[in-house]
Amino acid sequence: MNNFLKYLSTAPVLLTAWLGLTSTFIMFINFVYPDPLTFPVL
Amino acid sequence: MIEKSVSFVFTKAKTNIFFLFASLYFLISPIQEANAAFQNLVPCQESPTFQKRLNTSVKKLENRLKLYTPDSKEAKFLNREIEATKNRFARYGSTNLLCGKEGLPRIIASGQWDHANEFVIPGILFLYITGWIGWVGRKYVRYASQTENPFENEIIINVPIALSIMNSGFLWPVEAWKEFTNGDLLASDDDVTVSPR
Repeated sequence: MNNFLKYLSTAPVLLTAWLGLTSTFIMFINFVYPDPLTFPVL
Repeated sequence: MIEKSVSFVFTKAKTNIFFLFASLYFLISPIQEANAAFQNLVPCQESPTFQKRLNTSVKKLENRLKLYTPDSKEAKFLNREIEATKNRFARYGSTNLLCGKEGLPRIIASGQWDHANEFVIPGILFLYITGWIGWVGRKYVRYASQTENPFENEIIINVPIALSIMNSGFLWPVEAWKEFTNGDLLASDDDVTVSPR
């Protein structure tokens, strides 16, 4: 188990997971608030 | 010797007179102020070509909509597209955006406050986010260099430590300033290798 967790902590695995999370986040923001051109006036 | 000093004084006087006249010229002459009112641009709401673009886009989508039955998923998708197009144009029109002759909005990046939403605020937000990322990365690398196997800790990340460092990055401007004033931010000149000269 420890070795498996160590494998999951390697740079390529973490990079894939992190980029996947970031892209999902950006797609969700664009789904909720599409076509942002300027900063919204709050 | 006397002729030298006389000629020196004479050239100094000429320079002074030149600067006096140059400054008087620039003070008195009618130089027009640079006006950042953008005469070639109109607010997008008032631009007829901007409206035309909206109508053309919606018309194209409505033409495609005619090819499908009303309850199909293609029709639902196209209806959502039509709504999104109308909302987009309404949003661009209701903010302070300026459009050119062809009806497309412009981002005014000159820093003036009435167009701050277009460049200044997103720019500051961008710098804050990228600064967070960079600062946190630097912190982890510095932590890794203190461990007993820095090479391994840089390719097999210590995830709990990395996550706690990532969460602490929101105050990075303060931390960076503190390190700068302590002399800890920058490497000393002795540590920087320079090619032989």
